[in-house]
Amino acid sequence: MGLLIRRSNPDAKGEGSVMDENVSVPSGAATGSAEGSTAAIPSSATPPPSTAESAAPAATQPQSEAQPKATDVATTAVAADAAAKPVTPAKPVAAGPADPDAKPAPPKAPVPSKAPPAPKAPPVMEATPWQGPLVDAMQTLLGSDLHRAATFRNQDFVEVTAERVPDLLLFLRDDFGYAYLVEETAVDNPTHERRFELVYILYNFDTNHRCRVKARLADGAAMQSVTSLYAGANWMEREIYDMFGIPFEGHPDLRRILMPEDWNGHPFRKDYEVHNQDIEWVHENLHIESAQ
Amino acid sequence: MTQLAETAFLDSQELVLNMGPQHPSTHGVLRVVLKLDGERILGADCVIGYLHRGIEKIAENRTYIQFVPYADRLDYVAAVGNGLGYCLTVETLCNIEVPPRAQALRVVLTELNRIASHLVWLGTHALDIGAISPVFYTLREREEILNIFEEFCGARLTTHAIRIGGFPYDAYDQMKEDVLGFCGRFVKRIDEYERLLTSNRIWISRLRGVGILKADDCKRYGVTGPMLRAAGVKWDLRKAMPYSGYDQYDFDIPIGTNADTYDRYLVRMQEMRQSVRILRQAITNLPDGPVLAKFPKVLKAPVGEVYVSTEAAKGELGFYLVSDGSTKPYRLRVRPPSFINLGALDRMVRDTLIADVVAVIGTMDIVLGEVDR
Repeated sequence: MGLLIRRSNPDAKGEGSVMDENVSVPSGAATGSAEGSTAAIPSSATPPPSTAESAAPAATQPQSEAQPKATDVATTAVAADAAAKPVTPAKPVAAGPADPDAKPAPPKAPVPSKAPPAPKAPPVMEATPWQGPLVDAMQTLLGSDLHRAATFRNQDFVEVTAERVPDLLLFLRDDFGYAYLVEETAVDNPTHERRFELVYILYNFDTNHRCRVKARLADGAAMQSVTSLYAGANWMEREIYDMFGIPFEGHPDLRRILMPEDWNGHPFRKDYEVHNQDIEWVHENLHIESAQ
Repeated sequence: MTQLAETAFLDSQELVLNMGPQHPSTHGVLRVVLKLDGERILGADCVIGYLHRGIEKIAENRTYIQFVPYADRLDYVAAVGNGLGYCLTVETLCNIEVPPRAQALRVVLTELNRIASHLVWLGTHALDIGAISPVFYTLREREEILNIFEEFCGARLTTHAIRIGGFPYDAYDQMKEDVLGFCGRFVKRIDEYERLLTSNRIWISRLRGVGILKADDCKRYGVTGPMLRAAGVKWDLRKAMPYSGYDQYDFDIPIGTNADTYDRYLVRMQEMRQSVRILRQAITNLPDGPVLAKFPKVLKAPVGEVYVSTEAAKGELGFYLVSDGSTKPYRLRVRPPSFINLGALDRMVRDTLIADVVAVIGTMDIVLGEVDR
């Protein structure tokens, strides 16, 4: 993987000079993954309380990963990245002792254990609170249903209760001029108890401001359609229904849009592997063994 | 006459007509099911997905850098613009600062590609309406642009020219002369197209008042790009939320007044002239310096999510990127302008005549690779 990247731009200037940053310190990622690791330590430490004392497996893990750190060459950095993947199942063993070891050997232990737990941990965004009259107005409208108002990379977003989304969108459209629904989509996070996150991106032509409204929805629950507020939501909700299987209440024409009508499964769910297919549909309609 | 029409053998009924997916004027594999009362359209239902590749799912299984060439395959007529949109999104998420020279070069390539995209639109749109000759001229000029791309990066259509952080290579020696030479020739060529079409009586009568979508409707449907501007909304993301140094260039946003197919034609013609203006400024004042930002080769994005959009040839092209801190996107959503614009087709063709459907599909300037993804 890393080799491919390296080969693709061999004549790029200044590449070699940043090589030493390769291992684990991307420009903005340092703080983000650090937060991720702190959040990950309790979760990864809880499953193996008994193995925390076993120093023998812990000693082998950091050794194998300490090598790429010693020699900062691109190939070893790639190896470190590749090695980070297989470590994942053994992570509880490695991360358990990493916590007590943090004081004596800080550069060795946290760095290798940092990379694998990051995807496991619930995402921690370095977002700053978003304040202003708009947030205050939303607060008075929604009360405790407004869970969070924050800014990340100068992009404002709010997290609200799913049932209140149509209210909020109507309010934002009519009272604050957010007349344009840029985007409506969903993100699947199966480990979360409410696995789907619906994302609405709104734009105000007058103030040139864009904001995101996000709401979490459990699997099987229906979301209220906003097609009556924004006609453009029609196709976007059909696509979400098609790809994630989220039904929309009050949608005028809820059909699949990209996949075949009688296809079984919703491809953008995380538990739908990239090679998955509805083999019966493929046999019946395409008369071939497999669509792969 | 009325008495005749009431007889049994001249009884009328609604007809469902299937247009596409193999139809020369649907611009790809678009299928439109039309409900007709005589020649009048009662409703249109688009059947799409024939080109669905699941690009958003593919993105979750590729690294940030590996996905760049896939982005080109969305709107393959304006591939550079797609690559720019995706790379800007990743750069915003990872806080990568692109060197000024790379930013200006990006503008050059994107504007060239915008012209190329508009030329394909103009040629095929005119062909659909019945003007056969413009397509030969527009593809001739597009060829010049593709030659510049080929000289720059070796590819003509799906260029993979723009990379995360800038460019892998600098402009070639003769690029400035080539681009300026093209600009000089092309401005005269736009005049030629306009002489062929702008005051052509058949052209006007086929396009005037056809496929009207007023500004309010555009906003309700999320329709952007030249279609929104033809409705009189002076909104262009290059001005509203400048990226890649567009705020340094002096250009206007052409707008229309009647929100019909003819105004969209005028807007796009003016946009090509504005693109030439931007091109001349960008290529003559190309800053010196590196063309690639310094960032780790194994790119791990910080945890977070961003939405970044650019003014593509068809409208607002957005990428919503969710990162879980690994080397791959957790979720990448493409906001395709063609898909959203096509959603307004039913609204635009209702109660018009069947011959106008061809004009409306043409004026939307859709690319099915982007609609279906």
